[in-house]
Amino acid sequence: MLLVILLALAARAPRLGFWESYAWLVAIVVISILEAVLIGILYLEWRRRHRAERSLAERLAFEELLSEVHADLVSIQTEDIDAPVMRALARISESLGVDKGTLMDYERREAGVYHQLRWSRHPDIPIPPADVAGHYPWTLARMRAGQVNRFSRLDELPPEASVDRRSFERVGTQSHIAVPLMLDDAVLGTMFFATVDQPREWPDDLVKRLQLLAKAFAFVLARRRSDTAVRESRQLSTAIVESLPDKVVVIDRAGTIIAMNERDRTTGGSFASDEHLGVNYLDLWRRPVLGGAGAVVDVRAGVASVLAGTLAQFATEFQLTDGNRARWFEFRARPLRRAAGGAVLARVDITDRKLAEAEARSMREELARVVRMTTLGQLTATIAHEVNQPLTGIMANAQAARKFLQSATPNLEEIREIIEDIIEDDQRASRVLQRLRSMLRRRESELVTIDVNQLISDVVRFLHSDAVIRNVEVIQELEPALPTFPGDLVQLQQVLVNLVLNGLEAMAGVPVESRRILIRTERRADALRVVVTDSGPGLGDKPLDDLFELFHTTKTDGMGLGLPIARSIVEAHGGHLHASNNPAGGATFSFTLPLAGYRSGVETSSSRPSMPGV
Amino acid sequence: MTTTRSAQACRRWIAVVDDEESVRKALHRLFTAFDLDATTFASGRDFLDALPERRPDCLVLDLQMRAPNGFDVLAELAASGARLPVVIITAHDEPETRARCLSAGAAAYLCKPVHDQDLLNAIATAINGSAG
Repeated sequence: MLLVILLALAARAPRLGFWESYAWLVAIVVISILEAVLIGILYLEWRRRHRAERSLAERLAFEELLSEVHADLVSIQTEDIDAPVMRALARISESLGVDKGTLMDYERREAGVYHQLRWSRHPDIPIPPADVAGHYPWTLARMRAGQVNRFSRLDELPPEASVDRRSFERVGTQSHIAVPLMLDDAVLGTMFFATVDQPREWPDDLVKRLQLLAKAFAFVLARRRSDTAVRESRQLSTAIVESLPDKVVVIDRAGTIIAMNERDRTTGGSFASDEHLGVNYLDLWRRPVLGGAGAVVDVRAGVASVLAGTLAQFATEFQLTDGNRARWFEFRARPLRRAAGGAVLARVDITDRKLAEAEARSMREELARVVRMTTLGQLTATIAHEVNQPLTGIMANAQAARKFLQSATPNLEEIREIIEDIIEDDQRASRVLQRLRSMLRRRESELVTIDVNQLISDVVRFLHSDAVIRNVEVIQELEPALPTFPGDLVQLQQVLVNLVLNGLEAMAGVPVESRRILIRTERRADALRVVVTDSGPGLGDKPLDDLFELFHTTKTDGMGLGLPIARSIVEAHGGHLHASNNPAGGATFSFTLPLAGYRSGVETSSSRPSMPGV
Repeated sequence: MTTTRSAQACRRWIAVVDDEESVRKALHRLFTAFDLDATTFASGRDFLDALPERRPDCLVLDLQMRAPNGFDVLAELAASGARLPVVIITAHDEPETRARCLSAGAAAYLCKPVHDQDLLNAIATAINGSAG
């Protein structure tokens, strides 16, 4: 319009020189140019503002995307991350306007191929091969090194990426960006995007934004890793506990059951079963149970002591009746090694073992009795002496009394004394008979507190007559003040009688002055040792273990039962019986007796009077 | 050592060696009841030590004792040439022990519990045998 006005003015103006005539035209042109420049500047400014607005909108959109993805990923269950991660990947890919998006997890790998989640804009887009290492070696190396890898056109790929380039070409990839999923310095995975229709620029600010998203994914992968590790460790612990042959219950410091593998309820309410989780274990053991040798076992007190730390371990055996059948259990409580305390309780059904033990024990006891009977036959001097000494006293006293009574004025005081003595001798004789009867009695093992020195003195006294008849000196070298232990008195006496009697018999051919048996006792760390040495001819050159074979005998009247039974008795007490030849001649038999006693851990009943047996 | 001695010089004097007190006491009573003097010794050593002081008419000797046992006492008596009548009383009756004692110089071998008449007869026979 301005131009039209100017032209109208020019048409009206008088004819002038060129400058005069055209000065206004020049002005108009100049003004127009200025105007155009102004318009151009205004346009540029508009574009710049438009771009800034777009960038701001993009950033806002990204922020929105980021927060949504974060919110979505933070709350996911780590057992199944694939679906939500896929959702997030799709959203990001769509918002970026790419054709493909992939997320690769380096932790999950099957048959050498990394786990990948893939999104594509439409199903016709070719899927790249899953074997990333084989088809994209250069790209993978950079991704694993934690580098951002991008190209806007395939031409940007360096010559060393020729294998990768061919693979990209095959699936029509035009541009590509890979952003590592990093947490601290660890590369947990990679997310990558590609376009197939056209090249695409991957500006730095986009890379920065993608790196923020990558953090969110890295966090998810890390959480999944740690949750998996925890879950696997928990599954392993559970599997271990479940696989144990023992029934295991874990309790906390207060006694509350926090874990168990217990499933059977065949023994009534005494044991924890699955419905007892959270119940106080100590409440299940209000009543003591029956242990070995009739002893009462207070499981509750034992477990409480372990929980309180006053007992390093509690172990016991006890029986429970299931219907008509008694079942035996071995029970152990150990502290749970953790700051919060607690205890691990394990029990195992040992009924079969107990039955086998009982059978073996009863066979051993029967054999031992047979051996005692045969031994008694060998101890003629001892038995004759033990029985006849009191009878001699009785007879002489009675005959003296009869004679006194024949006098006109019998001394009644004297006769009263005689009768007292007769009664005493009679009692002594009946004690001897009682003792002999007890040796021959069929009986079960009876555990008492054993004073081994006392036992030896009793046996030596008992065998005194036989030693005298055989002209053998029996010397005792007993370490004083030895501790006592639980054991079967009659059986241990039998062992010693057997060893001493063997020694006595072995020295028949030795000159009288050198017939000697030395019995020594000594204290070992957790055991006592008894050594019986004789000065006989020794045990010969044959393997010494043959001596302990059943029915092995060197005697004409022997049955070959004594030493095998002696060894089995010592072993039943947890000890060992050995034989050896002395360097200076003669034989030595030695055995150990652990202070833990007969089938360790079994309570002992009260002591009964010392009773030498054979 | 317990001794009962009658004033009459003709009364026999018996020594008893047995390590068991109840037996010593009973035998001592028995001999006293039958008007014999008796001295008891708790061990063979006690008896052998006392022997030089006074020799009994007869020794009633137990076999099964702590050393010296009955055999040892017999052997020492034989070695000293004492020729003392000895009656063995033992709880352990075995033919070889009996033979061993008799060959070692014992006059009689009786088994416990011993009957009074058997013992008195054996003592009388032993004393007479030694005198004869």
